[in-house]
Amino acid sequence: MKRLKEFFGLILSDLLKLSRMKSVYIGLAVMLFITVIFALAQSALGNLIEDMATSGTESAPPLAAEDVTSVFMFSLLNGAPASTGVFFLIPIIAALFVGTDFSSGMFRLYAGRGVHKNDLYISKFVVITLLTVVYVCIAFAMGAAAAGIADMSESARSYMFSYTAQAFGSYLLLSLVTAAICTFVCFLLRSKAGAMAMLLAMLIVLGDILVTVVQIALAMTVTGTDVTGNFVYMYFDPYYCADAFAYARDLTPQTAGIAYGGSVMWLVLFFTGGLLLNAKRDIK
Amino acid sequence: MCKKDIAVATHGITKIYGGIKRVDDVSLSVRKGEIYGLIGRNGAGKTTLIRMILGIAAPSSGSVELFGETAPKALAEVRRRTGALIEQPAFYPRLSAEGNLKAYCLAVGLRSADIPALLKLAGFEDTGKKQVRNFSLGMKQRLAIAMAMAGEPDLLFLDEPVNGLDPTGIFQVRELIRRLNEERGVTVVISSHLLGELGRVATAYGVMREGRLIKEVRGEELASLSRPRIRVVVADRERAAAAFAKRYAAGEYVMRENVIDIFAPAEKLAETGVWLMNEGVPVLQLSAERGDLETAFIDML
Repeated sequence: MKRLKEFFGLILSDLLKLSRMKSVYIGLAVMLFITVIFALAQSALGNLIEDMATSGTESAPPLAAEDVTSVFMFSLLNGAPASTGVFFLIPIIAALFVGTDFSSGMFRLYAGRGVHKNDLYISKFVVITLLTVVYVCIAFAMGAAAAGIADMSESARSYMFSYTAQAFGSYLLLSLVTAAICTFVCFLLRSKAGAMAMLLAMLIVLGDILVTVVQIALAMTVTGTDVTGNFVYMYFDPYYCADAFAYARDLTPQTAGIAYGGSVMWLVLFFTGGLLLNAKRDIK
Repeated sequence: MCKKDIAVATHGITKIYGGIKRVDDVSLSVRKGEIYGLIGRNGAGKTTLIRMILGIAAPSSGSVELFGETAPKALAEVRRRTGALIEQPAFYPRLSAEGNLKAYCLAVGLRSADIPALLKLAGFEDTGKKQVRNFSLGMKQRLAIAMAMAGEPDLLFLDEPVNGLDPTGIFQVRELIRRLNEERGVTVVISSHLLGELGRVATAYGVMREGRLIKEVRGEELASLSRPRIRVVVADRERAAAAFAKRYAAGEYVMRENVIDIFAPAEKLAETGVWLMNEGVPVLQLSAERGDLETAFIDML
């Protein structure tokens, strides 16, 4: 009980520190800005299509403005965290958040006062997860607000919202994976700039590289077998569950299992790997 | 010395970084209620030793004992009652002094710590919301000391505690250490290059050289180190060395380049002058000095 109380104090301390970080609020402003830009772009596009349809030009596309709005809003709402850049913002904030504790010497001070190294690690993981979940919720709230005021039929709107719970669940899982990766890399590199660069590079290319390597390996070892329909290699993309939403319309138990199973695997690997690494190393 | 009187002990503690022994087989003991000065040149291993005692770095071999405890869990508990200022002052640059103290106390399980009292102790009653990154070096140092004092620790580790402080700040820290030690019996371990400053508060010393603890000095031995001396500056070192070797035993004088300290009272000054003249040793300066620890330790280092 005492240990739990002390750990809770550590989390409160981290939350206090996080609440004073400017980058957290800048991140929110960026998300809001992107949502507004998307909403305005969609509105302008809808107006353009309507104008073209009413002017009767031959080049007018055979699309109804509402169809465009539906597709656009579907992506904006159900892919809100991706559309608003949440998973690019979180690595930056996490690197600043954890890196400061290394560069300022606070970890040293805490460990010298008997705080266990793994408590420091878990606390950072919990707080980064909370921050990511809050960002994801805000992204969905902004997406929902934009979708709520968009010019759409009720049937299109209800169709769009029918996928939101599944998309939200996918992104919550991705929040955990992202927090595990961010915590791992920040503790591994112990540098703000290094962790930031590494995390962004991982987000952009790691999944593709791993998947490509495994695809090549599979094609080479399973010569003559058709692997085009086999998505098992997607296990090797830590960020795959973010794409699960894209498959939401035709998510089979197999693809869902791969997407979510792969994410859970990466979550466990990064989290336990980070804890083991942290326990073995001296504090900087 | 009874085991229960020991606050800090290390037993053959060694730390190897990159194949080099940074701390080599150090066994020191700090008694309860002592102010223990850990001295040594840069790179002597003082900070690494403190880091191992505090559990920030794991020893390559050997063990640490704090208030008789050696088991990891028990050591962690004792460390909860240990304040520390290690290497440079640590703080969150974008938080105020109060914010830093709050964050620190929450993190180390000192929710009931008296933060206004700590702010007063560090002289930060009027800094308000000023961010610590805008503090002077001395202010940062005072904040770090206030953090170390949080929770009224039984044991304090201060690594270069007066770095960057002005003379008033140095005086305040010195008096604070003395007061905590005398009034509350806090055991203090201080690592410092300022031997003169250390000499004013420390009651025992550990001298480190190249990762090894070469000497621990306390009590009568310490008093004997600060005995009065006659200082002679000579022009001809070789001739002086030969003359001194004939007259004095090895421990009765120390020779550094052209400066020779003879451990003798001021009354012997005239007699020494006459003797040097008779020996034909050209003397550039001859003076009686009050004994000081600083010189004694420089001789050891």
